[in-house]
Amino acid sequence: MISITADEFELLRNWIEQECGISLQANKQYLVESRFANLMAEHGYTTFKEFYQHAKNNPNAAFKDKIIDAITTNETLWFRDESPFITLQEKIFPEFAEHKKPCRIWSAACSTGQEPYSIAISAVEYAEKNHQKPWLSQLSIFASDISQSAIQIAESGRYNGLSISRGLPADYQQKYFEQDGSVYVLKDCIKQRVQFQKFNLQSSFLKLGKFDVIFLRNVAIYFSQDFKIQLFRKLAEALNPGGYLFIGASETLIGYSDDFEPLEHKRCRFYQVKKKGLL
Amino acid sequence: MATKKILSVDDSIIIRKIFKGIAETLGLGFLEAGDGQQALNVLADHHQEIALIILDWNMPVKNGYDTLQEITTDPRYKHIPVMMATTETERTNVIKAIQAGAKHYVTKPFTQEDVLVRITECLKA
Amino acid sequence: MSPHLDQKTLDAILVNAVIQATTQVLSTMAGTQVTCKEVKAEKSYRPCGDISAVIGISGEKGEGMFALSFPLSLANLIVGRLIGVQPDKISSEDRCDGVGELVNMISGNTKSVLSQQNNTLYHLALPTIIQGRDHEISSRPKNAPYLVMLFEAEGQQFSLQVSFITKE
Repeated sequence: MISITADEFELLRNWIEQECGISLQANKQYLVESRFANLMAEHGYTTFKEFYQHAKNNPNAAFKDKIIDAITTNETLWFRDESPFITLQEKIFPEFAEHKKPCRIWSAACSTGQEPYSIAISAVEYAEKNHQKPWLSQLSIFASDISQSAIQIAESGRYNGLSISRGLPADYQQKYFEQDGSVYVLKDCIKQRVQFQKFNLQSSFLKLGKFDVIFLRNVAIYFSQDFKIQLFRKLAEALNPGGYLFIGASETLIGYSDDFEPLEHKRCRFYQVKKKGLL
Repeated sequence: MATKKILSVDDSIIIRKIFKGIAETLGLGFLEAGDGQQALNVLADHHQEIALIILDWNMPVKNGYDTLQEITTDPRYKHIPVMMATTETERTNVIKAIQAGAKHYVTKPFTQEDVLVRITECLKA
Repeated sequence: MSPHLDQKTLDAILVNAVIQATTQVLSTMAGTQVTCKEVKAEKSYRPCGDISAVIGISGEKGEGMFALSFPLSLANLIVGRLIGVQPDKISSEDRCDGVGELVNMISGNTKSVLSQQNNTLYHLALPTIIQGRDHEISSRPKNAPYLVMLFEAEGQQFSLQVSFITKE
């Protein structure tokens, strides 16, 4: 009978933490086993020891991406925790639109697209209600995820009743989706506002350019301490002066970064990058 | 070319409905079976249209593991990827299934997005 | 990983595992948040709700059963959320199947915790469904006490009751 021993799990766990920046909890062992099933099968391994050796001897980016992808769960809702989208509409969009300033937003772990599309819907709603439609041409939304498959699904803009029923207000469903049998297809007026790309948060952010708002919610739970510190530094550097960061409602920057000032709008906690030179 | 189909094998109607919704989202056709024996019957008639088999473990008549073994040793079917989707998380059983040729192992409960992504991966390989 | 757990330790492990599994299954599959309101040890099943799904578990070192019971309206709401359908569109067949699948997932996830603790394999039977207001369920093995866990979701109560004893 083959199984993963405590020692093997430790080895693999340390390697993943070091190389992929992902922390595995000791009690998540069975989950890891089931999730690595496909990777092991793909490479023809039936023991974790062999699999670990392969991982160690093949420190290439594609393989690491696959490991990270296997461990992280794709989960996303429309307007997940509504408050950031209210903050966008009531506080952030006006700052840019009223001064006719361009606004560049990054949804940095977009999974199957619900978050960036919720941002796009919020922007269109804001512009319509506040007579700012021309400003929409100055808004760009970039969305990335480690999983190429997730990106592929996001780009299709196709969702079923089950997915639509989770968080999407009925009037938005009417307004922004067309029904194709049992599938709801997002209209082009929203779809075309988002550019998708596969991206590993371990890579350098330099080639992405600068952003005014970054969303990175509910993914930091997977990351190791060291990686979180690095990640938030890179996020601060990727923001234009005064740019905003949204993290998950239950997440914190305390202990990971001093680069941000916490702000609050209604009940939404979000962050603004501190001005350089004051530190 | 005819639309490729997903074959969902699960004794739960609700689970099959969830996979049907997922197949439609991906623009794929859908076939279903309530146990392993029914699945083999469906395969005999439709194996050329099936792009992916999603198998539960704990089912009446013929369980998922026995079915998996029959699929992966049959020259007509063994090229079709099989994804286990089951509450069976016992370590020894997960490994047994990988050894028998399962390409993916998803444990219930699952998020719909996660299954969408895993299925897309299976279809690419 | 003691091979000989006393009943009290086992009960504590079971209660924790069941609460975690129930919370996780309902939030992941049905997007429904649940809270555990009460845990009690009882001599027999406490009638609760209109529909129950019962599943037997057996292994070399123990046997028992899980019973998941819902009031009709909550069962319809949750099963509806599983498949993205309005509660009033849920057929009796869907409802029975859905509640059965929920107990299957909850017991399946609890089973792996039990196996690790007890260092043994357990087998789950297929779920059976019992309907009718305040129906009774007899424990398995006969006269084994129940651990009764009362949960709340969407302002309504449901229960998960386990009877499980170890074999020497």
